[in-house]
Amino acid sequence: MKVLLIGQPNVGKSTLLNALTGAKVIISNYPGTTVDVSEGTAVIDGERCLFIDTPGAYSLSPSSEEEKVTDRIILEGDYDIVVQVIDATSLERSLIMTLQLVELSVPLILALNFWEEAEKRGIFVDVSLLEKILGIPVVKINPVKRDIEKLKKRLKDARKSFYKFTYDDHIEMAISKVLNVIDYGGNLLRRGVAVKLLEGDPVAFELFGFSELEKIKESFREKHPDIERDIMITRAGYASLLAKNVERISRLYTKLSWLDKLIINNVSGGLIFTLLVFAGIFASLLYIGGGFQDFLNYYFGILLNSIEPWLQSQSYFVRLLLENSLIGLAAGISVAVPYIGIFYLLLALLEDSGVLARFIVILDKLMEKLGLSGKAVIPIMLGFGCTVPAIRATRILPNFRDRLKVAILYITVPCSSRSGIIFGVVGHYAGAAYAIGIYLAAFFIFIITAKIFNVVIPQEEHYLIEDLPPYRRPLVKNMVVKAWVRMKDFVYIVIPLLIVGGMAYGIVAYYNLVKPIVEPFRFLTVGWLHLPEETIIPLLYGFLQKDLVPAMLANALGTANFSDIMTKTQLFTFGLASTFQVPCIIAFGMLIKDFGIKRALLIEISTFFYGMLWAGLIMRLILLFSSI
Amino acid sequence: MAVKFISFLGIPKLMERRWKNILMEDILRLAKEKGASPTFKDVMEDSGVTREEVGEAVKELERKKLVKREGNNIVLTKEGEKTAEVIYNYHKTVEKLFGHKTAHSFEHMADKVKYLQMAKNSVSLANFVDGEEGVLISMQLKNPKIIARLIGIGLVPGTRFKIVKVRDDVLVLNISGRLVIVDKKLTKNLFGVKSLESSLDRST
Repeated sequence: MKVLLIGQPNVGKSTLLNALTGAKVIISNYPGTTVDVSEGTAVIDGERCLFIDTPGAYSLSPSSEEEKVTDRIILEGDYDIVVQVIDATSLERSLIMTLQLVELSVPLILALNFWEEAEKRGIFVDVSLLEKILGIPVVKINPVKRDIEKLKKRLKDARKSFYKFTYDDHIEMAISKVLNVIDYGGNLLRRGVAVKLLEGDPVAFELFGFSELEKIKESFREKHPDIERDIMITRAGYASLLAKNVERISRLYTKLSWLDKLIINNVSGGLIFTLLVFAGIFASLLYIGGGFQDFLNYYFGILLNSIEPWLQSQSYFVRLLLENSLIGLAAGISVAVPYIGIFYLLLALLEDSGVLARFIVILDKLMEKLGLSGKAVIPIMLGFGCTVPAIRATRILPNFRDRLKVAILYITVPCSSRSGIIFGVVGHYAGAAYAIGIYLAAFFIFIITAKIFNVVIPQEEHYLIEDLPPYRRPLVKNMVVKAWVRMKDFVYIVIPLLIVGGMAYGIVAYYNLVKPIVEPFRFLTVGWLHLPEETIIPLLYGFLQKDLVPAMLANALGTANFSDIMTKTQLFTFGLASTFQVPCIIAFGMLIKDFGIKRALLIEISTFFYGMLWAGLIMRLILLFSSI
Repeated sequence: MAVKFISFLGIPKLMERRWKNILMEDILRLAKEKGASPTFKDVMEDSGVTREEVGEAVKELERKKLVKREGNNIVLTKEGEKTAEVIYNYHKTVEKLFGHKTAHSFEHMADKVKYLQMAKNSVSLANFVDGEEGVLISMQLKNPKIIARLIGIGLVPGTRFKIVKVRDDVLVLNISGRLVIVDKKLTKNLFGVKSLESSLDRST
């Protein structure tokens, strides 16, 4: 039996999925998209049930990529039961989607979550009355406390609602016209499908659309110009009526929490709070992540030493290959686990507790000045971990242009691998001031680049309409799952590629291909960047894997003590050049997937020259100032 | 608070208690709509009720001195004329907002009535200041994506809200205990009326 879990964002669907299925949750991409859909199985009443958790959606009238996925899953109709998780603290909102599901006549059961929280706030929902009106089971759940027995027991009572509602005469007329021509023989109610088509649902049109639809709509336009809006508002009206009937509210507005008083009501308070949180993230990465990295490096060192005698007995070629791939693996793991893992765990903590949503409000004004929407904060923050999942995260942005802009801006957001270069090469050999200098430079170039974009690609009109979830204590398990989903790309794609990359360098070194690569780039390295010519090897290598750049630099220079060969300014320039470098090959793959090969290639080539231009310029600025 | 009745929900027990009030309102509205005194038959057709039911409602209306019976015609008194005017205007407003079908159901919801009656006095949300409460009356928007999003976060005509903070960039609203933010640019497209009395909870 296939059971869909559906509901608004932050309504507790994933917690419910975890409670229903235990630990056996599999996260997969919904075919053709990169939006995550997780599933798990459980045996209920002797029957094997497959639970599918759909991306959070405010309604089945999609306004983002994620909502489209949910809409598509519902409209494709490949399921036996739909469990809609509804939020007792905002019943009216949830009921809009309920009515859409009712219109489509899907076998439905409602699970009322957060009802205890609602009652504390003075909102009482009459579950049995709602059940009577809609003719479908409505149960109270609390997945956090694992109180889901009622849902399990009544799961099979899920049924099609007998609740009917009609629209205004002109809409009803349009509906019957659509019904006359529509060719639909699926599980859903034809009337519901017709309404979705009239409402202008892009997914419904893709699945069931037909050419005369526009003509039918046109024939009503003169008298009723906004049939789409009429449908949505009428439905919302019914939802509001329904909610009023089954809930009793004794307090209309609850008190603001002290944190919201500080950060939402107060512009400077919000900014200070944000800065503190960011500083906290960086400090924990530096100390906790750094500690982990030292620990892992130490054990990798021991491991490498222990196989050293065996390696010595192998041929030079095999040794070169194995050694380099092991270094690649070590680099991957010692970055992935401490930095990316901790970063994404912290991010999940911010997200699940409701704090992250506030950042969107706090930073919107600043982001708007850069021509970005406040929502872009989340993908940009993800970029400090790894660019690959960050590119995927741009999907939460409502329009294509914004997504493309943020994806290009990632060249100025040092990912953890690039931070590795900044700390390991620049910080270690030239001093902390130089490393901080690179972050500052990255910050300014981020702003300048965003400003340039704002002129070249003017921002599409965007409107910030967000719901700030109440503060909640996050569940460790949910956080771990979330962090893992985001880390998955890194572990499954990046780490193997690091190993392959290590081998590739082994081959280059074995066949002595270094010289022919170095020559043609002299104009860039020696001419523009004032660096030793060999540095082009690690720089180019940055396309394959940035984690190995320090090791490659050591290889190319013939010593690990960089300060013997390069001046502090040169180390700084090298750090800049490798920070503003092209997105690595895996990010490139992600760019192709999301934006097409042409745009991806254009991004790669233009960002390379753009980055190098800045590296040389900043180096000259530094020289200019130090000579004064 | 909310009157626990909606005609189309079809819950018999509740229906019994309330049908007469609705029918009374319907008769007054019909009298206004027609522009002439309706007959028993008119009411029976308009509301889909029996002659006996109309008779009972009219009796009640007579008792309240809102109508007079003149043979088969139901004639409005001076007082009745006034009440009917209010009901009729309200009906028109709701109809404009939600469509005819919903208007029929909505108009009997007492708590929203007085706000929706004032719909013609609604002002754009840009005129609201920190701490003020109100009811959203209309959304003058075309983009279905934006409408869907606003509806999604709980902002529909008829929604009661409280302005938490007017910021330079966004409006922070409290809608039944949830904080939502709406772009400042949209406030000129959203219209509401200010609350007459402060909400039940005075602590905020």
